[in-house]
Amino acid sequence: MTQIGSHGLSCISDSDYAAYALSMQCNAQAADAALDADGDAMAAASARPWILVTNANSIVVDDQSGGGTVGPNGVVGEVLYPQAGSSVVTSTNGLPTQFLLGDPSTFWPEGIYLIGASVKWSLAAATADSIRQLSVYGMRQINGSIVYSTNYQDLYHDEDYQNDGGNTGALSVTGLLDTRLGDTVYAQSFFTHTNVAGDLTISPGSWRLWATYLGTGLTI
Amino acid sequence: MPGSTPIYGIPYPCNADTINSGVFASYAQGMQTAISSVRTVQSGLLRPPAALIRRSTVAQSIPAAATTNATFEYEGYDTDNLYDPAVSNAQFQIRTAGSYLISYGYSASGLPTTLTSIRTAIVLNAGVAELAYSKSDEGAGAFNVDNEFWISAYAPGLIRNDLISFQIFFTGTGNMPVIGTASIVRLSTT
Repeated sequence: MTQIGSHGLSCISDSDYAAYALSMQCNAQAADAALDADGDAMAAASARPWILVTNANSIVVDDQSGGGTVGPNGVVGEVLYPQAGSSVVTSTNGLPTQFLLGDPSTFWPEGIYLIGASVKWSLAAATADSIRQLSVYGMRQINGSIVYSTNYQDLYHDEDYQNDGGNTGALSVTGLLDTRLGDTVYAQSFFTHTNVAGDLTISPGSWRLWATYLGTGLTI
Repeated sequence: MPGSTPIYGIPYPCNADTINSGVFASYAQGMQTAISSVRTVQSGLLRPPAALIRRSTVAQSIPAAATTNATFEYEGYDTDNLYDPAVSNAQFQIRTAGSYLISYGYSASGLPTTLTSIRTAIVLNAGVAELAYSKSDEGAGAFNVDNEFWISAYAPGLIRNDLISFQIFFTGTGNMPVIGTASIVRLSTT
């Protein structure tokens, strides 16, 4: 028998007449293995990992009367991210539900992700022309820490201004996250405002953070 | 005694078995079935359920202070019969379970009598859940003709017959003409 191609298949010559059965068996098993590998690879590529995090409890976002500025650097606001405990409801397929400092096994797999967040709120007293800002970004562990703004990766935000549209609001933002540096620990959403007349309240389930893996960056 | 492969069950003769045309036919059929099975997975990967629908010819008139489902005129493409105007021209209906990315963008092709805010939402099953929401609260006089709005949501774990629709609500008076485009694509089989 002579091997052909690269999938373990073979063909027989006249002198191998008695090997018909063996040839068919070998080819069947080689085809079985090759198709199985291809099928598994495609099935895995079709089942892209994802995560959805929502707030389990009502969140009161401070009215900024103590100061602060809108933006992710040194401001007062609230964050939503995958974590242990009962403050969030997390559903996921293939992404870590919790990050552990210094444990690379809890980092997000390297690649390109689509991330996004939506939040809706209510308020009792509105400050005219005050700002509400929603951000979403990746969090990186750098030098053993994740607490600084330099840890943010691929930050996207949307904002709106309070005017005379009543006592509710909502924002939504989407973007791409590149984790190929290998140190991204999760995606996080941040919400803040400058409504000094009073707090904004996010009711349970009204803040959604989501992410889905798209591919390695070489193949998406 | 004939054997078969462990994964796809491709039959093959063993050493003492008779080899005739029937054996070759079964062998070829086994190969065919195995290849078809893998092709099915490949099809789902290369041509996932996806659709794009538009309203761009005749604007939809949205009344003030009333949550209104956006409606559409025609589809640009649809790989899984997600949009069926015979059933409803205001929704996607999931045919294949999985996790989907959904987007909706629209603009006001004219202004209503007065306009102070616009809220948009992507909703699941006629409002059982809101998947994404956004509100522009610019105040009277701040909106212009052709203001554009866009919203996107990732909806994991959708099942067959789940319904996706798009809601618009504005505060003000009069009616607002709207044109827009919605799209949906399955990103994961799980």
